[in-house]
Amino acid sequence: MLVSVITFSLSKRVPQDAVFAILESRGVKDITDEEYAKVYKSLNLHKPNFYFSILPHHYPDNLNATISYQDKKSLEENLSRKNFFFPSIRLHGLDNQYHYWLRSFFSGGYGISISDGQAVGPKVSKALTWTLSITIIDLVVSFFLGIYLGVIFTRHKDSKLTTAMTYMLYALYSIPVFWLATLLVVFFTTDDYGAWTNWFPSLGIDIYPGKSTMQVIWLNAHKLILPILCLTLHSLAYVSRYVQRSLEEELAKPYAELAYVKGLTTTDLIKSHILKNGLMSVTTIFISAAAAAFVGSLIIEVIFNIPGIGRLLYFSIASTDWNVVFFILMVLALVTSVVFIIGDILYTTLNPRFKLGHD
Amino acid sequence: MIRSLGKYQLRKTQLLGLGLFLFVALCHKFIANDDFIIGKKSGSLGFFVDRTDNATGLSALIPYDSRHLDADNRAVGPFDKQEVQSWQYRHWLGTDVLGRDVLAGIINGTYIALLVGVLTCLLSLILGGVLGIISGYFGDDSVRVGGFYLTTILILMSLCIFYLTYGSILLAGLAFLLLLLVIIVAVRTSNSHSHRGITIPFDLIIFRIIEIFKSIPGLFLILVLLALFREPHIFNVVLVLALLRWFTITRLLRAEIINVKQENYIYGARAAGLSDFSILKNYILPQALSPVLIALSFGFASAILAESTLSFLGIGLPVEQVTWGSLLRDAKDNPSMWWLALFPGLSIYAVLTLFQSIGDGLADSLQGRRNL
Repeated sequence: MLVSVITFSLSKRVPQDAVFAILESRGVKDITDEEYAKVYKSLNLHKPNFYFSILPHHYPDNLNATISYQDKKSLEENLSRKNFFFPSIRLHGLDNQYHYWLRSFFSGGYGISISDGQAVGPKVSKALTWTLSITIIDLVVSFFLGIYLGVIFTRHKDSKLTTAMTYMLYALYSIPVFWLATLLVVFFTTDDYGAWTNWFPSLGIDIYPGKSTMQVIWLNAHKLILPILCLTLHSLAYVSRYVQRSLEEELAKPYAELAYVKGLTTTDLIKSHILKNGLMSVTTIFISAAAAAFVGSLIIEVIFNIPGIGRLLYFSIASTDWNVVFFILMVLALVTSVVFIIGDILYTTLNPRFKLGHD
Repeated sequence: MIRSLGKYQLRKTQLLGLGLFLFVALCHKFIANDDFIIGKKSGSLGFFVDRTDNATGLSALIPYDSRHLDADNRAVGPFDKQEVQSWQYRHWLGTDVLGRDVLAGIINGTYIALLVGVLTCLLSLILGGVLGIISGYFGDDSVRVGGFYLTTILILMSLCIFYLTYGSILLAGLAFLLLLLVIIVAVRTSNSHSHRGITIPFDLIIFRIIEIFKSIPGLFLILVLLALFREPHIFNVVLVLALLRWFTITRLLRAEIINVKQENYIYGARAAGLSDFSILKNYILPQALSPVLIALSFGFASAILAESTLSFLGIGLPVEQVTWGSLLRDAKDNPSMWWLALFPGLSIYAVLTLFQSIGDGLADSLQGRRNL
C-alpha cells in the first residue's frame, strides 16, 4: 500500500510531460492547444492528485485544472512571489488521480503504454514470463548443482581438485555478471577469433508471430543457453561456497564427531546427519539468491536482447514510458513479497524450532 | 578508532593494491593528460598548459586525455600498427571506435570509481549510522514523549517540509529552528520511567522503512530513481546508491549496539550517572566500529560494482564521461575489439577483489578476537 503511494508520488515528479510523449508517439507534429487539452483530460490529468492537499492559503484549490503549459508556468510564478503564507488543507474527495490509478490497478486495466499504445498488463506479463523462466531455471540449476558440489567438496576436502575448484568458483563469484557476459559475447559468439570459438548463436531472440510466450521461449531455447549460463555460473559459485561452509560448520559440531567415532564413514555421515542440518541455513540464502537472480537477469536481458522485464524497464525508462515503469515496480514489489513468503515457508518447514515472529 | 583497525595488519599485496588504486585515482590528471603538466607558453611558466604549437613542457606519462579523440587511430588494438609520432604517443591498450585511448579511459575510470565509492560510503555511513544508533540504542520502548511534544514535533516537521516545497526558505528555517528547540526541550524533560506520554517505536519505524526499500530489487529501483533527475551527474548516482545502501550499516550497528547494551559495564555506566551521549561515545560505538568497517569495505566494492553496472547500461553518468563500465559497453557493441572487454573488466575485477579481501580479512580478525 505504502509502495503504491510512493510510486504514485514519484510518478508525479517525473520531469517529462506525458501528453507531449503521447502526441509525439502518434506522429502529431504541431500540437494545438485543443488537442493538448483533449489528451490532458482523457488522462484525467485535470483532476487533483490525491484525496487532500496541503497548499499555501493563496493557492487555488486545484492547480491541475489549469491546462495549458504556459498558463501553468505564469500562474506558478505569480503564486511563488508571495513570501509569507500559511498552509491550508483542501479536501478533494474520491474524484482524484490517485484513486483512479489505484482502482484501475486492482480492476485489471493497467493503462496503456505511451510508446506503442499497447495495454500495459499483457505487455508486462509477457515480459515477466521470460524473466521468471530464466530466473527459475537459474535458481533450480544453481541450487541443485551447488548443493551437490558443496557436498562433494566437503567429502573430498583435501584433494587438489577441490582446492582448485573452490578457487575457481571464488574467482567466478567476484566477476561482475556483466563482465562475464561481455567476455562470453565477445569471444564466443562471433567468428572474429577463429571459427572454432563461435560456439553460441548470436544475440537476440527470434520472433514467432502467433505463438504463445511459452512456445516462443521453447523455440528460442538454444539462444538462451549462454545467458542462463552467465547467470548460473555466478549464483552457482555463491550457493556452493555457502553449502560447503555450512556443512563444514556442522561437521565440527560434537554430534558429528560422535557419529564419526561410532564408525560412520564421512559419506554416510554427510548423507544421514549433516546434510539435513546444513541445508537449513542454505534456505536462508534463497531470498538473497532470488533477488540477485532478478538483478542479474536485468543486466543479462539488456545484453542478450531478451524481452524480459528488466529490458522492458530499461527501455521504458529510456522512452519515458512511465505507465509501464511504475506498473513494473508494483509487480516487482508483489513478486518480491511472494519470494519472501516462499523463503519463510521453506525455512519453517525445514526447521520447526524456528517459529515465525520469534527470530 | 585507528587502534581497532590497526589490530588487523593489511597484507603486502593488499597494501600495494590499495596504494596503486589511490595513487592512480588521485593523480589521474598527472598520469593521463593531453596538456603539458608543467609547460611554457609564450614565455610564462604554468601548470596544465595547452598543447599548442609554441608551447613546450613536460608531457604526462600517457599524453592523452580520456576524452581526446585521435582521428588517425580509430579502433586499433594494442598490438596493431598505430599511426603515432613516436613510442611515447603509442596507445598501449588500444583505442575505441572514436579513437579515445583505452588506458587513459581506465585511469579516468579509476578516479570515478574512487569518487563514487568514497562519497557513497560516507553518505550511507552518516545516514545509516545515525538511524542505526537510534534504532539500536533507543529501541522500541525507551523513549517516551509527551503527547503535546509529539504533536508539536510532527506539525513542525510537516511545516518545515511544506515551506521547503513551496520555496520559502526563511519560513522553513524558522520552522526547523523551532523544531530543534522543541526536540531539545522534549529530550530534557523526557523520563523513560514515567508512564505518561507515548513511546516512540523508533526500531519499528526504521525497520518498516528498510522493508519498503528491500521490497524492490536494488538495480531496478536505482534505474527508476536515477530517471527522476533531469541531468545525468555523478552526484545523482552517489545519492541514489547511498539511499539504497544505508540500511546494511543500520542493521549491523543496531545488532552490535543491542549486544553491547546488555553488558554489565553499560549498566554500571548508567548507574554512575553518565548521559546517553557519553555512554554511546565512550563505551558502545568503539565496540561497534569493527563490523561497520567491514561493512564499509564491502559497501565500497558494491558501490563500485553498481556504478560500473550503471555506466555499462548507459545510465546515470554523463555520456562523455569514460568509465570502466562505459568501456565495457563499447566492447559489447564491438565484439571484434577484445581489448575493450579485457582491460576495463580486469580493473573492475581487481578493485572488487581487493576490497572484498580486505573485508574478509577484517571479518576474520574480528572473529578471531571474539573467540579469544
